[in-house]
Amino acid sequence: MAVVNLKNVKKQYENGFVAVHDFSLDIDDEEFIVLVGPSGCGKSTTLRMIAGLEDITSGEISINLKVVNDMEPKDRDIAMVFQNYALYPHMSVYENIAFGLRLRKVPHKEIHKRVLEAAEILGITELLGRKPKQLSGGQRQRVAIGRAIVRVPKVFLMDEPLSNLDAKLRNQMRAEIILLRQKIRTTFIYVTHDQTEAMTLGDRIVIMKDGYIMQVGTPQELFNHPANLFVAGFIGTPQMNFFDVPLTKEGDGYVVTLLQHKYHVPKYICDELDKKESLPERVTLGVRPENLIVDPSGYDGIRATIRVTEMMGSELHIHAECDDGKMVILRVQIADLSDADQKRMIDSSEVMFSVRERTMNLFDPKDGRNLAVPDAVPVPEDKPAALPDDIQFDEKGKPIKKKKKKA
Amino acid sequence: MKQLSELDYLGLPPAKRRLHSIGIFFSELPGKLWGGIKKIPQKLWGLLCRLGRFFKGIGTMFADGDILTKLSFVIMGFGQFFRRQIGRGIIFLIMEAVFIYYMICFGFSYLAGMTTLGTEAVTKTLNKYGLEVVEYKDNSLQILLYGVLTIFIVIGFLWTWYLNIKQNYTAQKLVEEGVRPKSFKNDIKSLGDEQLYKTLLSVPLLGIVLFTVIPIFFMILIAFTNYDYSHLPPEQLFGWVGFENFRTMLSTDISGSSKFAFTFREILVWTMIWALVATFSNYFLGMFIAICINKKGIKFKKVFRTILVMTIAVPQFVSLLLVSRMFADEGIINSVLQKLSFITDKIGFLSTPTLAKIMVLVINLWVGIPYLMLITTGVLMNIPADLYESAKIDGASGIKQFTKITLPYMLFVTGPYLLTSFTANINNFNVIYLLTGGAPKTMEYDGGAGKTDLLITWLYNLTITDNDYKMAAVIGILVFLVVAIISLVIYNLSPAMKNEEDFQ
Amino acid sequence: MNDEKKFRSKSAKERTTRIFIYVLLTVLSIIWLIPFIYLIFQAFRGESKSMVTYIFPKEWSFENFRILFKETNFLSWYKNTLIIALFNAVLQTVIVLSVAYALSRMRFKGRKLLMNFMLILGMFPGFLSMIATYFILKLIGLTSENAVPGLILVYAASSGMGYYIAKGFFDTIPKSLDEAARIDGASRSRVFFRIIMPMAKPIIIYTIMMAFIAPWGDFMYASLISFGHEEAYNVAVGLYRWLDKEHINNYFTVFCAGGLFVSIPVTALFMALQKYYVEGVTGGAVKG
Repeated sequence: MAVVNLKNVKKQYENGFVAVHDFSLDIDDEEFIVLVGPSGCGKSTTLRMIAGLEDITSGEISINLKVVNDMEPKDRDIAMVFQNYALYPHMSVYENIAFGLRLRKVPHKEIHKRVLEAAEILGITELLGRKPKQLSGGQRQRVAIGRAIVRVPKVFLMDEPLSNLDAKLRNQMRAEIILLRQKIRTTFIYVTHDQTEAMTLGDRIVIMKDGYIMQVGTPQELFNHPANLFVAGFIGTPQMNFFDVPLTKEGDGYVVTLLQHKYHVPKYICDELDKKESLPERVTLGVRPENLIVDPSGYDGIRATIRVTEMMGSELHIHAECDDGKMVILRVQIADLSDADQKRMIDSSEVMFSVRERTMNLFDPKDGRNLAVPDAVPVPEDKPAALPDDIQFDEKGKPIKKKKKKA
Repeated sequence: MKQLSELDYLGLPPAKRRLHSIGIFFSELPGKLWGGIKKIPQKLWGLLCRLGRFFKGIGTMFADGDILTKLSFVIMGFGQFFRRQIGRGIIFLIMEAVFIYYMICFGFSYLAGMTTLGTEAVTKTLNKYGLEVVEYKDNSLQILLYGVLTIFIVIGFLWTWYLNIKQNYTAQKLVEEGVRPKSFKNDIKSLGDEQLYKTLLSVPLLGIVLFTVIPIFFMILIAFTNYDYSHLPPEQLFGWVGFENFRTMLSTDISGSSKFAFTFREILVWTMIWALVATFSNYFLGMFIAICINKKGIKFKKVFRTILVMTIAVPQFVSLLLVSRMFADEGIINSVLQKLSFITDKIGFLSTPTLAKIMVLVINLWVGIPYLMLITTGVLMNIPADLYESAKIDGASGIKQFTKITLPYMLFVTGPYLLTSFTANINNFNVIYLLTGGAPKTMEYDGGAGKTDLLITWLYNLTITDNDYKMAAVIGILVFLVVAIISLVIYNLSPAMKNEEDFQ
Repeated sequence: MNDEKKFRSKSAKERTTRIFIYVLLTVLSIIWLIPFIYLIFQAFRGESKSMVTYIFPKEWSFENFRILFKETNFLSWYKNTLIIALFNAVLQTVIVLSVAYALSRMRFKGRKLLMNFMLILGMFPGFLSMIATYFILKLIGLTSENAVPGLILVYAASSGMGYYIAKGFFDTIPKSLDEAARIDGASRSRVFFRIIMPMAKPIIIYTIMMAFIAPWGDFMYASLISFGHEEAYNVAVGLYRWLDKEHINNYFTVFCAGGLFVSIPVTALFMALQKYYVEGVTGGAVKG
């Protein structure tokens, strides 16, 4: 069990590239923290700094209130599960799991007991004699986890452990990790790029982009009150719908106008808007597909022409085009429709929808921040894909090769 | 010793586990050996059966063949003419004619001479002026040489003859089925296609047969003669002596008359020690340096590697000869050490027996480490980095990481190279000869051998200086046997002791 | 708990390791370079031809080189070795690549047998067959004065056995390339020349390099075949003689000059093509 604190942690490489800017986070004992974000957002780098595999450029990391910046990984009493499992290929499963214990000179009767226990928990007791090559992906992953839990570490680090598994196995292993967590009360820090994993596993989620923290919160907080456009678009499938709408004051509150339909802004947002010094004239309205109410009879609401319908089994995903050309995604639960409505839905080419007012989110179009969240972080600008400096092309259109300098 | 249950086995500490494996290995060994020995008659029998079938095949081809095929047994190419394979027919016929001509004119006489290797070497008669006229008659060397060549020509011809009747038979069967046999033009074209290997391999193989196979065969025969300085053609003859040379070389008699055997044993032991130490010292030290250079955070990697690689670039004879002079009694190293008053007398780096052996191994490090460094660097870069990271988190020190991750990986990938390196070192002529010439020479040894001589350098001296060809041949054969046995043993042990598939 | 235990600072440990390695590597680099620096000094030493007890020359001069070129047979040795090297570069490359390709790409009856046979042949010490080869060459008249063509023939003839590294390289080229070409209608020889060879640039250069460099350093065979005929020596045999007891006092520095003169082009070539050498060795040799 351990408390982990990161204070203004920054990671900059020799060539000037900053992978992590000013990362601060307080992790409670036995908390399950998920670091999530797209590739290159700095989540793995942060994890590796906590593990001691990367040097910290500036800032402090402490475990149980002791600063560990300069401590060897093995002294930090942590365990890590790698994306590629990192199993020692020439040792048996038993030896792989026992490796760390043997290094610490634990008496071998104790090792035997602990290994068997871990194998029992993970259901790999019959595999103890095999070599990694003879195991399937899921089995290898369990061995990797076994190797970590047998050490009874203070902090349990996991670096995208499910990325190499197929979809079905991934769902299965997700459930097992939740079960595992119930059996072992330790602090977990988990890195993934999959937002479903983040939502199902984490007590709290840290969303990152380009080395910055976008938001820290519980899954529910992130889902209902995303701090900026990036978080709003990242969390939840299908993705939230965004509309560019004018914001106008009306009486005590505010109103947004979407395609000639007026919707009232909820009170809690109005309160926040009032606190602001200046308000933008146009805002980005964010509404999740399930919060766009479809009128099955086809009369009320904003009209849109259906372009694509995806039959998901119990629900229908409708991709439709509004009158102003904007695409919108809608979700309709089929069970909620009467047979007649179902038929009409599937056959017609138009759909009418309206906004569920209390679920709307308003974002500042300039920096993407949620206007109702006081300390929201702006979305960093997208950098163009990195090209080596000064690529030039000759007449035929082939790039002229320049000697690359080693970093 | 009985096998433990899996869980019990795994529960043992590593040391006990290894002992257990070794115990099981040895207890099963007699059983395995016996099983292997039992297989030998089985394999021999299988071989005999195959030979039998081969001859039966020829018999069938004759019996089943039509008149054309039967005639082709005698006149090669006969059948081909009538089956529209004129090109092939002509080639076969020419070859038969040339062979018959050769055998009649030369071949038979050489073969005959092989049994005695000549009866009279020279006749010295007096001509009418009373001066001695020397007439050269039988030359043992020539007889042996030409005899061997003839044997190979006969073998070659027999093989061609077999091809001839086989082709005939196949063509006959094809014609019976109504298919037209391949024409000559087709043959030429297929030489560029499915039969490309024949085109590609024919010249190299010819070269190998001429300049490797025949010489080796020839030398093996020499080992059974008494060809040395006292039996030098064309003045003298040499003849067959059976296994006598081997007896001389391998006798266990310690008395003076078998100094040869004593020398042989001593040199053999030193050769083995040399090969082992040289190979493994280079291997591990080269690996160590490669790891150092490759470590994260070390700059100038390329510079260090280039400096070391330079020693490979400079021709060995230059560097080795130079270093040998540097360490000579009058050499620069001794001079500098004396000047700096580290020593008072010269150190016989290369002239004292034990010190010379050590120096030779050390200088070999200087020569050999760059190669190993290159090879190991390539492999090092391929080991997945997260294995090391995981070990670091588990608490493995640098040494533990080396023994548990780097070393097993290295051994797996470079295992075959180690073996070839070992056998190459057994025959490492340059390093020893150029450094010491085999010195310090000692009277204990026969045949002018010295304390740092390897079998191969001794072989060289016996040939060039002593003209003792017969003993040289014997040594060559024995070296081959040593190398072959070691290679066989290691190849057969490796799947049992190492687990190759783990790393795929 | 571990918190109370003292721990060694990670960065301090890394720094000490790094310093240790730098020191070690520098020392090693110096040791490795010493003989060559010595060689250069000696080659340019003006005073006295024998070995002396000091390192740094008192007089620098080109005298040794003058003697080398004008008063000895060095130039003819050099010419000999150069000719051998050039012929060998071509012949050996052709043969090795042919054999390696045939064994790697084509499957025919007796292939395994052939490979095993060559493996066993290779276990005989090379020098053994040299004696008989010498006699065969004498038969054809390619020894002594004609040692140069004789050596070329010998090197080329047995070079087929050294196919391992090239074959290892060919094995890594996917067979699907061949198959695609054959479906397109190419014959195997066309596949060989038009498709595989262009892709095999690294190994071709490696083979040419090794074939060119080898004759410069061969002492064993050259000494046997050209025995007694000084004009037919290669550089190794010729220079060797200058270091024996009768000659060393007059020829040591000349030897150094000769050694330097031989080393420089070979080394330069090697360094320029180093990349291919490394690729060849690590790619072909260790795949096993």
